[in-house]
Amino acid sequence: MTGETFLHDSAIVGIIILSVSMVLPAIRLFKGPSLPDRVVALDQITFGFVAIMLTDALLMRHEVLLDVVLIISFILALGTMIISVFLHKHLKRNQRGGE
Amino acid sequence: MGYLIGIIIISASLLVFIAGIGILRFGDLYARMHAVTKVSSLGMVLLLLAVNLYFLNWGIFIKTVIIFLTVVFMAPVAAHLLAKVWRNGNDNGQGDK
Amino acid sequence: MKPLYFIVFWFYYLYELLKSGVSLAFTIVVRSRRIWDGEITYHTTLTKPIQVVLLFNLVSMTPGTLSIDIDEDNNMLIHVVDLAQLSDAIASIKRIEGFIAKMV
Repeated sequence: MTGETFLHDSAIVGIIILSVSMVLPAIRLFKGPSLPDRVVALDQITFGFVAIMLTDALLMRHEVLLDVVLIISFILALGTMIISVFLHKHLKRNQRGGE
Repeated sequence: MGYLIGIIIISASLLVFIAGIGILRFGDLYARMHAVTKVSSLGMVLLLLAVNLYFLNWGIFIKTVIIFLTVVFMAPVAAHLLAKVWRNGNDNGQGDK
Repeated sequence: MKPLYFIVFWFYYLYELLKSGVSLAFTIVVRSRRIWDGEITYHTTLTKPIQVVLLFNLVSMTPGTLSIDIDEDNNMLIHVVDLAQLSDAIASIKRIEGFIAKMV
């Protein structure tokens, strides 16, 4: 077994492991008790997605996927911030309505 | 070189898998944030290192440095913002009022 | 701003990231059901705002700590995932603080 075939096989095994690993946060996404739990689980799913894209860029020599990874990692962080701003407004309104 | 890149890829995917287990098994929101922020970021950094070792190209190096800075600097900010909002909202909801 | 400290600091930071990821992965696999977590407050002696912001971001990547909140008097509220390793975490935060005070 040469280095190239080992690299090819290990990239395929890595993609399989990452695909299985996206199931575990999905369970937490369905049964999470509160909204931040679901947000964190969605973050983890997106991390697995990005990792699959990086491995695929390495396996198929698709250099264009790195740009996609850059945009997705921006949107991941910005989306979490936007959801936390929404949660802030929601909690404040609930607190005012509850009094 | 191929063996090194393969080992790095498998360990990075195992780290992301362990982060998924951590999200499922921890019982606290802050502990889950620990798992996402640290373990997944480490897996991402290892995958970026593997891509750099495979392509050996300056343009790709600059792109991966930008991705690294994004992941390392913006993921803690997002986690901190979510934790702060949740903590303050809960304290004000159950506290003195 | 000193460039030499900047380069050395990034290598140290990568080492810290590797250590924190491996130790937390070990914690998840071995004993994720019986961790003992809690919150501490930590007072920084840094004065410039850029130093405080940098420290506040980098605390999230040291082993077992996650920064939650900060007030006007530089008191940071830090969540620690394993209180048995608290002295280790505080030593690592102090080391990063020294680096930042010399760097910027």
